Amino acid sequence: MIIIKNLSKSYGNKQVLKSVDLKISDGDIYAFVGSNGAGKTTTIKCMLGILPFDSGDVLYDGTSIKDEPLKIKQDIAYIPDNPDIYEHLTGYEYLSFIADMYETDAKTKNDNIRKYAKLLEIDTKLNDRIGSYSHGMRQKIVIIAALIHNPKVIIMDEPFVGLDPLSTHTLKEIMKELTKDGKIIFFSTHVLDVAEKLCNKIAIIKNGKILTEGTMKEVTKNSSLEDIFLELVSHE
Amino acid sequence: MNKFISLMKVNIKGIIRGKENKKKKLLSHGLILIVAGALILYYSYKFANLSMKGLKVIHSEFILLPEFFAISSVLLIFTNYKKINDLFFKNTDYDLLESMPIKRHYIILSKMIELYMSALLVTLAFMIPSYYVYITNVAVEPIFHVMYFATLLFVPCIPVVIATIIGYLMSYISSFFKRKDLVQLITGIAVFYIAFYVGKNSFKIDATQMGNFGKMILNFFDNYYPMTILYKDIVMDSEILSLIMYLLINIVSFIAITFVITKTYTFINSKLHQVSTSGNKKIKETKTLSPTVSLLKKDFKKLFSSSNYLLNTCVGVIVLTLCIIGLVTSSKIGIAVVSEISGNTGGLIFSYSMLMFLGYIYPTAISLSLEGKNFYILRTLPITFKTIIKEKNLFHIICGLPIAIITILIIIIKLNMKLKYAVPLFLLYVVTTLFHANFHLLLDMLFLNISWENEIKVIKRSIQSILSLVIAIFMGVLPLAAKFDRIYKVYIYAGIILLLTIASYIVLRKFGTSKFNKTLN
Repeated sequence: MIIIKNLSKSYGNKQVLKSVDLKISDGDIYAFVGSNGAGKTTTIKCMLGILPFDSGDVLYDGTSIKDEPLKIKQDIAYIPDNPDIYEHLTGYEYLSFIADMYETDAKTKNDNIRKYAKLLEIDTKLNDRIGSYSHGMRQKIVIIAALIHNPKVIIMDEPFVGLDPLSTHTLKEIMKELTKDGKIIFFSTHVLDVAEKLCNKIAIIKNGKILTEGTMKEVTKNSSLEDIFLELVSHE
Repeated sequence: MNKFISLMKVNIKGIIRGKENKKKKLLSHGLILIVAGALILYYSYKFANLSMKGLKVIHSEFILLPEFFAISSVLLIFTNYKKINDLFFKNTDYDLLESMPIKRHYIILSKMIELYMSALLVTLAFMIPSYYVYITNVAVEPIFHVMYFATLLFVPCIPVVIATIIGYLMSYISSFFKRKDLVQLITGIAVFYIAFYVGKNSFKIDATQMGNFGKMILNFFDNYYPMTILYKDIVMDSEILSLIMYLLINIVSFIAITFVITKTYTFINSKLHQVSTSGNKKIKETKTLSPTVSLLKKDFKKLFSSSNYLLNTCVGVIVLTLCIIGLVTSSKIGIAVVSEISGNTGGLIFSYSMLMFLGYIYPTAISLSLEGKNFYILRTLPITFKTIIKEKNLFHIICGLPIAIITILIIIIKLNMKLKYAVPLFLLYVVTTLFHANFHLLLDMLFLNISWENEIKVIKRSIQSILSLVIAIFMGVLPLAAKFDRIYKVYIYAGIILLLTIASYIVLRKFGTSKFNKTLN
């Protein structure tokens, strides 16, 4: 379980996160929705422990990211909003590098690379340099890299950007499969339709403040997510 | 024409202020540039003065200006040919410029002038101090000044053209291969060795000229860089015809190379950007490596995938290899003469001079900055900065220690140095390598810059690269200037460097960890 308590963050005089409170349970597929510049990526970076925050805390099964960053990172995977990865390596070399960093055993590493590369249809391209990949192919590599070490929590920033329709579908299926084992998927998105159909929980953020959060049913009631989002965002 | 002027304005702004927009950073950037410029001018002046003293002894003062002309020209060729591929084929602004209604020859000419402008700064830093030393030591006619300044602005032209031809040919040849970067790397190293070979062959000892060392030195420069002949005729003999020829050669060759590039640019550019894929579609399986080894593997892949990174930050390895070849292939008589004349003191001087080049191996001085947009990967991984220090130390040691050990062993053996001198010198070379390993990483953490658009700016123009080279020179010059000619002094020098290494490591652990944890794209 992840608990974000009273999280605040400022850049100079500008407060970008204002007492963010979120609770993400095991097995959740959690959508984090907001307009551009709302504070989604900042929240994610604070959750990952790569961006220091002013106050509040992020707890993973009761342990603060500030106290045990390495232990927690061992169980998290991150998919960034832009797949900037080492262009001088081949796809396989990059995946192998990431697996080694998490000290994944050789069998798990090779089995997972094989499995997810086949699912995302990039298995025949793994010996090519990443520099020759398209945006979508890089995104696939980043997704596989996040899954190799069987993390308990996967945090994604706009994971569907650049993916073709088939890969988008596959990723959604992978996400559903992972949460069946009790893993947590937390991702930011602009695509309300995907969030509505895929996620069991959602939070909407605007100007660093959580406008609403809860299960999809609690948030949408009987309306569509798009209507609720537009109503909340335009009224605030 | 207005479009061309606008293009030039943007390029010149790029040379002067880089990509920095923040006032504070701009100021510190400018201050460092001024200090670096002043240092170059000072050392250039010292070098010119020293040369003049030596030339006076052999009554050949007239060589000073042709010597500086040849040295600065050759230096410009070697510092510019590696830039060509990036300047013409890796600059991201090309797609944008090509999509706009600007004639291609304007784009190419603006790039050529950008190259010329930065070369001119280096030229002035070399030529002005030597001019001052010359006119204060030799009585000259007023026409001398006219001829000197008539040629000054054209000095970088031919070197820029030659560098462009070499760099352009390298890009052209590599465009036909699948592993383009590897071909560029090999051709880049080959250029160094060809230059060394040509230089070696240009220095011919003629029995009839044995009494005139000045003539022999001038012949070397004439053979190595033939434009020196014309330059000498203009500046020394005030020959108008030579001046006209010199100006024509410079202008015509500059225009000609711009024309050739304009005509062939699209062909090479499209071939260079062709995506090649591996025929092997099977997924290979690998064993698990420790995080340190895996990071090391990644860094070596990066080093060997970028000819700019390798050729600049491992230039010390190339220079020391050339020195070793020179020492090993030197005639027994030559070595014997050096040993007889200078003995162990000569060996010490030679060892100190070579020590400087250990600092010319500096891949770790920019390796973290080179992570650029990928820096977040290191931050999100479950590794500590201590692991990174360990890995970067190993990275530097693998690059620098073998060549350091081979160099000092060859010096010891070839100069027949006694064991009591050999041991402290060997230790000095080892601790200096360890010092550079830690200190270069510390420099990178101090001046960490991960928001760059072109890696060439980090490799060549970053503060940490420049400081690495300045410190390397200082470490070689200090024992010579302070006359560390006794065994105990070598031990003391090695001890000081060891203490500095430990201090660097401690600062790196504390400051580096804190900076690493605060840095994010």
